[in-house]
Amino acid sequence: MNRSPRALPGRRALLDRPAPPNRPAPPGPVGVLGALGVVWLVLPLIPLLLWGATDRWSLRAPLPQDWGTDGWEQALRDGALAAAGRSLLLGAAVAAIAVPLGLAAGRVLAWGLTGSPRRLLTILLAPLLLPPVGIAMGLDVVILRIGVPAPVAVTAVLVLFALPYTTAVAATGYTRVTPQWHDQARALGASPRQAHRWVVRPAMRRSLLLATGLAFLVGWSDYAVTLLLGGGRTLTLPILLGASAAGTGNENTTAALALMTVLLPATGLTLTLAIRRLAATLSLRHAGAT
Amino acid sequence: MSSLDLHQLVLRYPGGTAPALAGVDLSVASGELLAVIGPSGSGKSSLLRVAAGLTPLDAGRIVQDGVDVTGVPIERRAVTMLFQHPLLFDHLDVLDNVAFPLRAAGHRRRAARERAALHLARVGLSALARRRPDRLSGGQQQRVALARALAAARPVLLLDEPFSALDRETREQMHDLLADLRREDAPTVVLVTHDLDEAAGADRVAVLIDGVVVQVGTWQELRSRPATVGVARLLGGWTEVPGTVRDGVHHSTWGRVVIEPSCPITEGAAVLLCPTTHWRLTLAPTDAVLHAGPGLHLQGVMERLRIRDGRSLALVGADGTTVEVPLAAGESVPTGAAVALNAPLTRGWAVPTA
Repeated sequence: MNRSPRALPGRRALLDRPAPPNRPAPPGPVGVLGALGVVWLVLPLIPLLLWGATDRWSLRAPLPQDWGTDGWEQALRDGALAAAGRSLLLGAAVAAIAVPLGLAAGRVLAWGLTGSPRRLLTILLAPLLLPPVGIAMGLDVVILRIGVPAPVAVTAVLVLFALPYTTAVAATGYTRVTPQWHDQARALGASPRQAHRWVVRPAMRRSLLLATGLAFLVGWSDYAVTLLLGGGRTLTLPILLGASAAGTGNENTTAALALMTVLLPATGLTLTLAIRRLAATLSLRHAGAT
Repeated sequence: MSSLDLHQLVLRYPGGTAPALAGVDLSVASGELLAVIGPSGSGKSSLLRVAAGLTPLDAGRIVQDGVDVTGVPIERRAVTMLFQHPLLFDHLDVLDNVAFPLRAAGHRRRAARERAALHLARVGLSALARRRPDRLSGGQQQRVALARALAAARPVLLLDEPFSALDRETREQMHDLLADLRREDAPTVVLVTHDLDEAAGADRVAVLIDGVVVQVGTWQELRSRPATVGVARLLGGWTEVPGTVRDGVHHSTWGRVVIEPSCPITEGAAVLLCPTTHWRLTLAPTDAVLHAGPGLHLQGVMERLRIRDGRSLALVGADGTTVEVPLAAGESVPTGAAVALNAPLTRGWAVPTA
């Protein structure tokens, strides 16, 4: 086994079966559905884009009469940037807590590390089974009585709401990346730590990214829990948007806030995917096992 | 090259009623290929995992080249393992997969890849070095896994049914490849398999049943002299004739047969193992046919025809059991026909009743 490798005799030619080439497949039904999905997501944005670029648009006119940036200016004056910052912090905090917990729970479920997976699943899914507004109302009273700071309470509850998503995504990932991957890496000479760092973690990268995105969005886009538990003091972008939407005559401001709510995470997602693709290319260039 | 000795290995899984391994003793000589066969759930994969150091033992010792390695983690043993699935790391291309053990051993990337390329050439896949694992066929993936195991340059290879998911032709090609590698490197190989043809190609075969090694020997020894009814059932090709051994003769309702002196039973309840190929079938039997000649005789009814490996077998019901009888090419027996069976054994092989 320690000798220099040499080409072996034998029926090599027979062994070489043609393998599928490395070229993208033509768009199939999945591609068509994907395209429809994009249209479905983009269509509602069109009126928002129009309103956001409007200074005056009367009800009967098919198109705006005056184009302009009044809505955006008003949104900024209302504190949209600070609110976006708070939403960003909230989303990041929820992701920072819910993702590691979800990864651990997902691994326990996928690798069969618990004797009672149903019980764990029921506990994790419970927040999805009950309406969040009702829960938030109930918790509001409790939290007020025991004196938990509002941002902490909001984050904790949103973590509970994000956990089912992060767990499901992690469990799906760990179903593919079985403990045998870890064993195989060790059988090839990697220590348990190296096996995790070189094999399990890179293989779970996609799931990690998806879980982070979902958990972030739970925090970023939440309205009910933030409003009720935050007592109106935690002014995030959805709270600002809700307040603006409750009024009339400020449709362009509401549209600007709504666009910010949608476009900021979308931009973040696009950037993340671009960075990931670049990293994957670089890792292929660079990387043996590391 | 390296020898491997397993002493009284005991393994219990939490909640399990019986131990997965109940005192396994096994020695594999340096450069030997030992096949381990057994029914599903008999502990074959567990045996390989404890031998590798992936699963901790409850009791027993593992000695490699005279050194006790019990408790030494697999990455520090001179052992590598191939699983049923190739388990290629899909974030790495084929060449980086093969370079993985070299990188783990501390080689610099360029050196690891250069050496990996040589191992990839050995399995005939140089052209696919830059390909992603998910773009390979099952056979190609398993060959990359084999190249990767070779790159680990460890003298003991533990193979846990690595070819079982492949089609017959690809499996045979993998056997050829393994034979080539053995000629080149002479690694010590322990191969767990369900495939009896695969086991037949090994230097020796160990039969594991219910966590116990019940027989170890060459394929010919096992084939001709199974130590237990369980081994005979696993290998197939035997008719079990229950009876009693007295004074070196097996007595049953089907007749009397002198048993070989080396049988694992000399007195008491015993099963005579009659090779299926010894049975002769006669249609429309008469008394003269039914009681003619030495060996076993019985009358039965043709139940149905079965085709196995391209050969026709008549399944004959007799005395509450079913006897398989090979038919000659073109021979046919109508279902429901009364038939006489005769196995003219001059000497037989008997084992203790299970």
